[in-house]
Amino acid sequence: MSQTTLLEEVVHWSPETCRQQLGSVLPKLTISCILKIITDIFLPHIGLKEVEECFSKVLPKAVTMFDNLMKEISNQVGGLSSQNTELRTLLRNLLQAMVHIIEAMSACVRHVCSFEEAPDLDAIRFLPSCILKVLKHTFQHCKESEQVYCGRLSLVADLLQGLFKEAYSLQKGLMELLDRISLDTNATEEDVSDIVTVIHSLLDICYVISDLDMALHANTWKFIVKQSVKHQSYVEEHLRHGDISSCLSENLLASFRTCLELGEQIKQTGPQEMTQRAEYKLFQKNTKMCRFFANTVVHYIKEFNSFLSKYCSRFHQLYLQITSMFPPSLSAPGLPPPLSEELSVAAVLPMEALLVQLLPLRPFAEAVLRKDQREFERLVSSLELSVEWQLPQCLLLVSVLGHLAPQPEEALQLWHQGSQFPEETPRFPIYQAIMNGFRLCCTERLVPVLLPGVMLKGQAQGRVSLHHHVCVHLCASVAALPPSYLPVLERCLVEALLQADLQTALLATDVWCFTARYGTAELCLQHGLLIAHLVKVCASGVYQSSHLGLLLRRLVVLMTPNHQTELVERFPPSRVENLPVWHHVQLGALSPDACHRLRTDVTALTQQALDRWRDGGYRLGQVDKVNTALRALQVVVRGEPSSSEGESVLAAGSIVTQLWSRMCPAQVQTHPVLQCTLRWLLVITASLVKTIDHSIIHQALQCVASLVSQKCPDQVALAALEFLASLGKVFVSHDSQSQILPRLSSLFGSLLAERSWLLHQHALEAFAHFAEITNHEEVISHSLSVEETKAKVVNYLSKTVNGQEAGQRRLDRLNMESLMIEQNNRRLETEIDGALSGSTVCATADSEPCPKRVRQETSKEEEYSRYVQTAESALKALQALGSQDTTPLPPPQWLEAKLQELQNLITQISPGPSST
Amino acid sequence: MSGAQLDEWQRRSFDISSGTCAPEQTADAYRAHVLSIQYAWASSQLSQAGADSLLRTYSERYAAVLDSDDPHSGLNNYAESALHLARSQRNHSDKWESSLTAESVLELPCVQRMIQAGTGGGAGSLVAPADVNISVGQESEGSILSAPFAGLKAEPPLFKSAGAQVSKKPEGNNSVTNPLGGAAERVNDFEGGSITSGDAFGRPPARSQSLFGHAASGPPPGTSGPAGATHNQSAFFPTSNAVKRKNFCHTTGEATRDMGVKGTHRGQSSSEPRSAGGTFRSAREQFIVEQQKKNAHQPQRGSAPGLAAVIKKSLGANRPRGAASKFVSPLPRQEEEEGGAGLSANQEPRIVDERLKNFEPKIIELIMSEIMDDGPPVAWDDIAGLEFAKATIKEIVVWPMLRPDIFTGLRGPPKGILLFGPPGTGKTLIGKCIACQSGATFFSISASSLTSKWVGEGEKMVRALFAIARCHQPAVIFIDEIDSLLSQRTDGEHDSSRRIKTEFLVQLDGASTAAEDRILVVGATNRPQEIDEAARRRLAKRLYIPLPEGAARHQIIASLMAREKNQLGAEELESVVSAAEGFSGADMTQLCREAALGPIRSIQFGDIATISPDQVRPIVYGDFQDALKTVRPSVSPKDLELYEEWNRTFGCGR
Repeated sequence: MSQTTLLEEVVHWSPETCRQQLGSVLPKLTISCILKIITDIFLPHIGLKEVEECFSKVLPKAVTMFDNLMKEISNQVGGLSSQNTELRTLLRNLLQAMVHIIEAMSACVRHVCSFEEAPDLDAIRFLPSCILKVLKHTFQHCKESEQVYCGRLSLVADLLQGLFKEAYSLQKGLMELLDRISLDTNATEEDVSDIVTVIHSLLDICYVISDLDMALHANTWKFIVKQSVKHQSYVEEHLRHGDISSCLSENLLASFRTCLELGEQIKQTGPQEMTQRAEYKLFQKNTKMCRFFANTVVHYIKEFNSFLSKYCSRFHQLYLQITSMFPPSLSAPGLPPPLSEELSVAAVLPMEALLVQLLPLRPFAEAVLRKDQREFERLVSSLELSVEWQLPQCLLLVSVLGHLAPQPEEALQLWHQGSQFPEETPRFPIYQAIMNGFRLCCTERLVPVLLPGVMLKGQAQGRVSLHHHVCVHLCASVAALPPSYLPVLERCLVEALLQADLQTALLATDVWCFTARYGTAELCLQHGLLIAHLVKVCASGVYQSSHLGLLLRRLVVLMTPNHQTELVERFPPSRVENLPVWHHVQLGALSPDACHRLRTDVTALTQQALDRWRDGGYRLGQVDKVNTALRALQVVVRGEPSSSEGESVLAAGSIVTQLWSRMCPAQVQTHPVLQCTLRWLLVITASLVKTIDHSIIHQALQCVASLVSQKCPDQVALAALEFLASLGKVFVSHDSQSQILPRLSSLFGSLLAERSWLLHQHALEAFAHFAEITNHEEVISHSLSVEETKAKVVNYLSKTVNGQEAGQRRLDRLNMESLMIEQNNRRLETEIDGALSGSTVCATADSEPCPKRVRQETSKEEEYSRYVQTAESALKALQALGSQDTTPLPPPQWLEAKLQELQNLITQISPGPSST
Repeated sequence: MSGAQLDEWQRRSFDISSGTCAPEQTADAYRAHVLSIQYAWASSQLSQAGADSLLRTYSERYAAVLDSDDPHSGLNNYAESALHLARSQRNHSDKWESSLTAESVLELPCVQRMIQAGTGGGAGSLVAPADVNISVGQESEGSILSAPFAGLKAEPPLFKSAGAQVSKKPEGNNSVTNPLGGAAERVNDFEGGSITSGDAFGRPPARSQSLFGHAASGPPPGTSGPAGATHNQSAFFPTSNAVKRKNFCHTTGEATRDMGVKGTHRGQSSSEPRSAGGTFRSAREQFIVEQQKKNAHQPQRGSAPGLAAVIKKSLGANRPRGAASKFVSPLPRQEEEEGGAGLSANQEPRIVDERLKNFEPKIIELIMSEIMDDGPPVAWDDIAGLEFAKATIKEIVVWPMLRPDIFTGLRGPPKGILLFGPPGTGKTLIGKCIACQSGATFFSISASSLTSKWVGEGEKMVRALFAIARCHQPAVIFIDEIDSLLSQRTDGEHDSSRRIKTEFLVQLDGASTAAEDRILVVGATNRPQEIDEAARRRLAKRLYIPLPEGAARHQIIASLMAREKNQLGAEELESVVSAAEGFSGADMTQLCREAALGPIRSIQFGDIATISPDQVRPIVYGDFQDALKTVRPSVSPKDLELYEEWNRTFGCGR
């Protein structure tokens, strides 16, 4: 349309309309036309020097007019309909005028661009600011057009499109122009603030255009970052880094989410025609955006890292948000593999680069390693991490560990040491944080999730469990550990060893053993002695003692024979108080001398304890001493004793004989301490079974049978199974066959019918073991008199397993299990804290506590308080999130609804006056 | 009965018993067992004692898998993967010193909690006080003892340390008669026990501070007995990895001696500090030095057959300790070549890459054995001088490896570079440095291993080499003395060697190579003029590695002398440097070696047997002057002209 169209239209207006519109249209008309004339006819003749003067006169007016037009439209638009032709014409004219203004501005930009030399900033000061204002309004208008024009959009759609196109090219032109501008050393403050304003205005435009046009959006961002970097030294202190970085992250997340949604849609349609579909094209486009934003974030952080310290926790979240959406995270949507692959290249790979950039920043380390100060939640920065972020957090830490080695000393210090002074933000040492993180990934360990392994010589990359993954990376970090950080490693390992979760303790032992083998032999000795010392200090009933035993057993294997001898010297087994140390050792791991010494000393000591007990009149109060000795004896007689050790075997045999004569089922049933005795006795008898008199075996069977017929404690049952399995080695003479064999088969029969699955499984194993080696085959058939049992055994022997559970059901079950495990762990730990504060724990056994402690009642309240605290802290965090951001960024739209839901929930929970 | 639990358990245990699963899977299965036990305990399906006993069983089996070095059934503590990840970093493990002592560990919060837990629960007993006097067994007799259990709670005021709060169950009834003495005995006994194994009763606790801390550093004065004996031993092997393997320390000793000799031969790598140990030392000290040297190396992964055989012999097959020894086994790289064949024989042929399945496993193993990813890390700063060459290499090798995304298109790295120059100027050292710094898989191939091993199979080897390198991208193939491989093709030469050359050229840049392959061939030679012109074209960057300049020579001498006792002033050093004009790096090392022998020569022959190492006088300027009389530059000016001429014609440097 030519510039005269508006004029022509006006000519045809009825007098009535003219009168109405006189006030508003007339000035606009003139300015619009005059602007056109100026730009078309005079501008080409204006030189660079004079151009600013011209702009300063014309452009502000143009902007005001543009605003007026905009206002006019919004005033008039309400009455728009296809019937009301006048109004329609008016609106179209207004829009047309807007297009003209933008066209005129484009002409100005073109004109300035046409000069050979790049203009100085102060020569065109008015141009960018005016244009950006107009642009922002235009884009805003386009974005809101759907709401503004409601159903009548079609009437003006062509013009709106034209408007957008013009604005698009105007912005492009402006950005080209600004690209040519460079600041030199004598840039004034005004220049700098102009550039900053331009950048910020573009940022505002970015908010507007984020869902209008991808290409424009990306180009604008490209320009923003490019300009920021180009003028870095001038502008870095003035930029709104918080806005820029958070807007970038939001954009990244938005395009990432779109990708995920599209992926879901594509998944539902099936993979065959996937690549042909429009969704796939869109997916690829969005993936590209994703990659662009991710790379831009990284680039931006790289350039301005010193200004971003306040936003590090945001970046941390970003990392978690993105990685939690990919396998092996359990919350990852199951996208088709090619899509997932594509998206992960676009989004996850840059996240690693992001990590490397953030690594040296103290606030980032503090955010990642944050430690909650609250007294009774020792573990937890985790509470603030939702469940699906726990694995990503753990992997993040492992990944940090991998990037740490080439970092400078300060970074190492930052990550390795943990907070050292009270005024620092409290943080964990990275090793401890990893252990904690690992512990929290209980469900993932149960599933188990698989991670890419380390690629080694020519073999395809394997998939490994989380434990394997974490362990390898921890060990690799240990392998390059500077000596100054060994102490903190040691402390973290001790800490991890003594927490309640078994598998985490196992991880700590694995790493410890690596350290022991990698380090000097002296270090290994020193650690061995230390652990032995701790074992001695630790009461035998608490869970820590078995974790310590785990480690001690393995460390002793790694010691040199000389050092093993030294261990024996330091903790002579001839003294009763050292016996707990030897409870945990494997005899086969010791050097022959040490082995011999241990065997003789322990046997003698046991005999001595037994004698004392006898002299004291077999009092129940003295039994625990015998138990301690027996437990050590059990270690000593394990495995095949060599012929040279005949004496100690004989001695042990006589001890067994003496003890069996004191075992009376009724007493065992009532006194837990005797159950322990029986347990060790059974295990010892199992080891010595070949040398034991058959009458003793008969006695033992009788005792066990009468126990099993009632409710038998599981520790005794397990020991009994070991004993029964060992009986396969024995050939029973004819005269005692009639006594022993029927008992044996009835025992097997009842143990195989055991309801507890663990006992049942071990009964199966024991029975299979027995059946494999025994000569008395009639026992086997007699044991299986019950059909149900027989079916189970046959299934077991033929290695038939029931089908696997369906995916989601299994996941639910595992979730429940992991919750239970974690609760139990916390119970164990808080129990200790309870004991610390002198509260209720009492009357629980020391060496062998009852399976269930009576704490359910009291802990109910504790549980309440814990969950309330959790909720409270989460809400507070939410609040802080809302208030800390100075940005005009609105919170996500779903927040409102979610909060409402929460509120309802709270109302439901609280016992309102009506319900009580 | 929990069916799903049982099913999963059974599935795992069938897997384990089937014997077909890899050790990784076995370990994972045992871990899952452990987790199941934990769940059973948490859900009260199992008592703590029951959980304890099962845990012990399965953790023992687990440990057997994890700590064993048998490649079929053990995981060797994940050493292979872990050390692979840590391959280009220095190993400080010989300097590790534990900070935990018997006392300090008790102050850790977690340990305190543990102790408290013990005492918290420990006040009770399994036996209710009323039942104490019940007689176990058939007969019942009158009671003699009446034992209240409160005694234990009384904390001995004498010992304020946490150690004294320890009260343990086995002593429970003792405390009736001697509540304070019981605790005291334990504390004393432990601390005393760490001094001697004798009776420690009544020993004043003050004497026994922190013995754990001393144990590694040396014997505290005045101790005797078994503990002392151990210390003596550890003084003999100060860096103590040897102690771990003391069963075969003699054999190791000899081996190290050999290695020592080799180490000195390898002096052509001019400024490598480790090859500088040329001064005289007593045999014992030499041994210690070698031990230290070994510890500075990265432990080697994979087994070394020579030593492995020794381990087997001395430790017996059933002893998992063998694993430990091998783990710390720090064989230097020089032995690797001999070790190669045996090494691969140890490993079962595993699933290799799809692309390699057309090659004979033998050949693949042979090439694999030439991958060099351990050995002492070499940093750029370890190479004296040669700034231009270093900068160029960083630009075209190291950076593209680190940022392949930037180095694309025209910036793409060249496929080959040639380092040429007189012998002993550090070409090989640069190769090693590339290996350490680029993070690429580094194949160090000697031309002879490609040509001589199987006549007629050479071209297969070449093809396999490149195929394997492609599987391990980014990769650097370093070929020392490349002239013998890629000499001018003439009419009269042997057919097989010609075929190798052709294959090599084709592989290097031919129809089969893709543009995005990230394989770099680095050749080193001191006879550049003999290289075939087609090969010259493919080795696009040809860098002249000249004789060290003054500054570089200065750095070499300074770094070599830093390790020796010397009295060399700055001016004297300068004059030595200027007198050594025309020396190569290796010549400089030789010069220093010669000079270092000067103090020894001044010792009377009769004294040499008795003199102590610190009585040997430091190296002085005069020694260098003497040495300069005997050591001559190994490169003649005429040779140099040749190199420079060639550099002017074909070189890419300045």
